[in-house]
Amino acid sequence: MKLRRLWYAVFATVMSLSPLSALAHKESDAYLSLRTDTAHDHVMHGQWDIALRDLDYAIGLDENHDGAITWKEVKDKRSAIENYALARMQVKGDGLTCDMQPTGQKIDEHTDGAYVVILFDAVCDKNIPSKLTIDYRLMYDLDPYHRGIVTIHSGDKIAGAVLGPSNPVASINLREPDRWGEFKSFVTDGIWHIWTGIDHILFLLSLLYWSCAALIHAVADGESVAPFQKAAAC
Amino acid sequence: MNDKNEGNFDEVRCSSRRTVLRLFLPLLLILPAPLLAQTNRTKPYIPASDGVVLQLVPPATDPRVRQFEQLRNDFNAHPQDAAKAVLLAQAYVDYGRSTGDARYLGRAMAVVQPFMAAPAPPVPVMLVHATIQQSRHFFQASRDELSQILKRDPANVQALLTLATIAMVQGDHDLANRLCVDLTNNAGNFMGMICTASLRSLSGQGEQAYALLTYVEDPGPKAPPAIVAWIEGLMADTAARMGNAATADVHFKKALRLTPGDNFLLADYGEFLIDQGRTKEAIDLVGNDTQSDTSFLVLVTAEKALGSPKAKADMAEMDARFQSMDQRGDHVFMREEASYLLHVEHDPKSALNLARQNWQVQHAPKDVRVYLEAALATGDPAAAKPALDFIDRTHLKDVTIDPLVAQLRVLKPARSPSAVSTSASRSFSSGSGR
Repeated sequence: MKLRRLWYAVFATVMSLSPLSALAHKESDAYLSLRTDTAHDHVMHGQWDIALRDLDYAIGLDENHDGAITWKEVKDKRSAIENYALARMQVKGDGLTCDMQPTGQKIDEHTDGAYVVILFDAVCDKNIPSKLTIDYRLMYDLDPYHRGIVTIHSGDKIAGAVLGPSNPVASINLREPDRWGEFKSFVTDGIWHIWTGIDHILFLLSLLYWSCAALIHAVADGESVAPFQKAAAC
Repeated sequence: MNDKNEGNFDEVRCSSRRTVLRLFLPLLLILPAPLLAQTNRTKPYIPASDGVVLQLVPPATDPRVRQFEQLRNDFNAHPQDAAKAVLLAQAYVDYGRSTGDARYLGRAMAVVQPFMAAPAPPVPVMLVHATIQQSRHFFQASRDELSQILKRDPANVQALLTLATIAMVQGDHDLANRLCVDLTNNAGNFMGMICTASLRSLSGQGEQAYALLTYVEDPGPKAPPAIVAWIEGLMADTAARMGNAATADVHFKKALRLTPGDNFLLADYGEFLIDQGRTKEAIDLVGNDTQSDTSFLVLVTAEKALGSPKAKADMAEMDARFQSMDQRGDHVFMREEASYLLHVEHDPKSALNLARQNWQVQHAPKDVRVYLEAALATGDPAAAKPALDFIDRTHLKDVTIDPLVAQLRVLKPARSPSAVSTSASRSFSSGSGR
């Protein structure tokens, strides 16, 4: 009896010890982006990528339990997925909750597998609010290490935060460009913050990307120093 | 909740800074792969047909899945029962460990976390909690919890062994030694010997370590294969450290036969094969396990060393994986990333930065090695002082580390960086191409 207990203890310990170089995959993430729309001031267009593995754990997607989630299984669960996810996130404009309206469903591949893409509009009561607040509760009861990686696009400005069960809320002032520095408040909220001041570089890079496809190939080929000169040339 | 560990301010700030630096400073200079990899990834799409398989998940035919389904139902029916919570959480941790899927750590944590709110949580709950913390490399939090457990239950074998292992990984050999003695007193010679052998192996006493391990190599038919594989893995590491490559190879193979597909072993053996210049074998070993980040890293390193045409695309993929870990603020792969930056990306400065950060957390031989390699490659021997002091203190001996120490000791700080970077690369992989 004593020996069996010991083996169990040893077994459990070995199981837990071997990965002292960490488990081999990253933990659960979802990617949320919101874009302002100059033509429709009260609407923000949203895209939310959530791992199929996470949704399968939360609400069950693999209907026939064969270990393979097909596009049909995802399509059939579209409303269940939207109801589940959109109920776990609030977008508020100046304190007023915006209405979440799903507009489409797609799939995207991330580094750790396939994600469902929930396309939605956050329809707010008034034009682009001064204060945009995101209250993020996805997976809060299922996985404390889940993170929502949030990106907000307003014109050519980009900002973001990482939210999760322990830090679910973030706010930003959209109206006053000079105050995009308020993203620093993400940090004071204990949240990993963003690329303040670097947004214009991102913007330049994206321009560069679209106009210099050949360059991208050169870079992807791993020629690490020359591309800068090529960049200057293109 | 372990928010205080995760949300630690400096760490968060540091993560942010590091991410910004890693992403953008190099971008300004050389437009490297990370952002492009992200930009180049697929755009959202609508699959071509209903039958397209998008994602594999654990099938109901897997007995482990059926087991934790049953445990979950059982727990859901008795949500206040800590014992049932512990069983479910352990099943999740075990499953996550064998498949390498870190999501199961979070799922396990969600199950036990509510019970941690009690003033004195049950010891088994604390053990699972500490185990998850350890697996996520929150070593200090894990150490604190294990110490609390040992105050309440000084003979708790699992707590003693887990704490001893963390102490070894962090280079706290005095604590590890005390715990090995406690283990011998409480769990008998078997555990005590493994603990002592592991510590000897890290203290320049490889022969003793190997000899001790041969005493326990065959623990009898009742021992689960995972235990035997663990011992074989320790023997492989010890033999490799002493330069007995052929012996190490035999032990690695035995271990893998006992636990085929084990994620940790695959990476460990793969790195060994690369060191031996057996890069093709390394690629064959991990080629079917590319969903795993650790296996994929071995693959990319081997491809780069071989000059394989696949290396470029796989490097972009590896960059994207590191970037997505950085984005969420993960720091568990600092050693691996430092090694990748040094040997695959050939960016010794960034590698040294990361190796230094990693040194704040871990002091295992592979941590020592990448730190010394990066210091050599940047031509900055002074940077390696903490690791060299550590080697003086612990008498660590390892054939992959000893030549680095010798080079650093003779190196004058002003010597040309190019000469040393070549030698550092050579010491990592004899088959390393440029």
